[in-house]
Amino acid sequence: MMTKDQYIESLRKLNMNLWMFGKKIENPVDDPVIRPSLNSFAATYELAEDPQYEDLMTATSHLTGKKINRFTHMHQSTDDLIKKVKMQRLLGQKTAACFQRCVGMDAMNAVYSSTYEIDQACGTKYHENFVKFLTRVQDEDLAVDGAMTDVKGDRSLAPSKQADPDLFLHVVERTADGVYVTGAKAHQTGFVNSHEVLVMPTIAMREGDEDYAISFAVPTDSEGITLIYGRQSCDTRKLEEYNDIDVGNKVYGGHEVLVVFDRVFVPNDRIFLNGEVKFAGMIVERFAGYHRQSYGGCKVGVGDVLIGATALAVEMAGAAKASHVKDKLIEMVHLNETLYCCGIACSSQGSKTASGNYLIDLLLANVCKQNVTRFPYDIARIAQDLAGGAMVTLPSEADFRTPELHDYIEKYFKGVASVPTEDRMRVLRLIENMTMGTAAVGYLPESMHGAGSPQAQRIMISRQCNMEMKKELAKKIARIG
Amino acid sequence: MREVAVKFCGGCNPGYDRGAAYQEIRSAVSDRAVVSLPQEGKRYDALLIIRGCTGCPYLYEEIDAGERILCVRQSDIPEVVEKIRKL
Repeated sequence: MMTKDQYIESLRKLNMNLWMFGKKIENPVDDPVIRPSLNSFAATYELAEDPQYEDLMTATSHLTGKKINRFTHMHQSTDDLIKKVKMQRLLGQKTAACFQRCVGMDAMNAVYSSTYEIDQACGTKYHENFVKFLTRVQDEDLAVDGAMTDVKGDRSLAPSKQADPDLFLHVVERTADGVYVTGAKAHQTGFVNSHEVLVMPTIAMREGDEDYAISFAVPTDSEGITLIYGRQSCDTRKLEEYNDIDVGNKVYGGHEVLVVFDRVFVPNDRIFLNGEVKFAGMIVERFAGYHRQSYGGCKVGVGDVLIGATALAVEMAGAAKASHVKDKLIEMVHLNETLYCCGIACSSQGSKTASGNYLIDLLLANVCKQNVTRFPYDIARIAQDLAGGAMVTLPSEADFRTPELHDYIEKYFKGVASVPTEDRMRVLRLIENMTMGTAAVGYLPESMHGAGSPQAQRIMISRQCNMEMKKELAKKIARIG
Repeated sequence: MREVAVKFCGGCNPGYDRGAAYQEIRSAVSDRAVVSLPQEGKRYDALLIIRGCTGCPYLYEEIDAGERILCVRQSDIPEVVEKIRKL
């Protein structure tokens, strides 16, 4: 396995075509806007080195028998699925941000089982290709971005019916050695911190969409890939002279990018689906299921930090003993632990696929994510309620460091006498960061839309809920028919 | 000196500082036992399992040890120390 430092150094060797604020970024590793997201990703390596966390952070490869980072593991049991959720909660607690590596883990588990079943049905060699790729990922402890979401253009039209054929990523040329692909993947979490990208189709497909039914892996700095970094609320606070208190979370963060593929070459042995349209939906459903499980871990860990910050804020304001305050903190915990219950439940009810790895219970995973589209917003609302207006009206750190203003701020933003005003400012800025600043990207809209927007889960819940059985139960009790 | 191996749960939601508990236990038994991370193939007098909560079922059967001593909460520490001292 790589150490944290080895991982960071390995990223320096990549030569990505990355752009941000209209400029090409030559050194993303040390860029002050990007670095917090790298620190979060690096925590997945750092904690794996620590005996206190290795039981969750590492696993034994079913391919090689070697100790590997759990983020590269194919789940071999329901116990592995449960440990995955616990690991994600742990990392959410440590970073209070999106640590980005889950998407690759979920993509690899989905493609692993899907390629096995595609080969069984079609006589292809995709699983062999994928196992070769996976073995390298595990041996070298690589970071993998899972890329599913196409930009999609007109949502009412199939990929092959779009006015612009590139609005879904597709094959533009086939050669004896491989294929060339063009298109774009949106909202790509952690791409800049990854060595490889594992591309999957974004929706179930039908006849005529063959060029769009494509899955493959290539290095993130492949020729033809251009990255456009996504803006986040309050991102340029990281560039200010005083950038400690006001950023809320100085060390950790997350990121998303738009990934443009312009005639990117994919060699044959890196292709995992190529035209078998009826299996595109299988990959989508499995990846979405795993990723909807993930949210029952990572967002819970981030929620733990937000609940803790809120509890500190009310203590610092002298309001901790008020009964309604206690009750609201309990409500936050109740909501957060309900999400955790869902993550654990869909894991414990998982089952073995034909390939041997384990898949979560899809109904419960979709229920999990449906709750995640709501509860973090409720938790954030209570956090803002209890934090009070100072969270958004605090003067800047620059004012606090200005001699003419410092004493006024120290005096008039103080809560209980024993707590320094700076400590109170730090906690309030952390709550601001998590509910409306850079980290809110990961905690709120990502909870809404990541791994599929709410309606996507409702469709899956409808398909999986066994309504006919429920009607039969009612008929029997009501003595009908 | 007795030899005791230590394993930590993964620490997803610990109710106490497991690292501090480990240091406290190690220090309290230092005249009677060496407590260290397990090495493959080695037999130990006991395996100390430091769990952060009651929800973790693992006993790490792959580690060869005469007995297993569990620490699940801060208040377990005196009893854990006593058990190691009696090995």
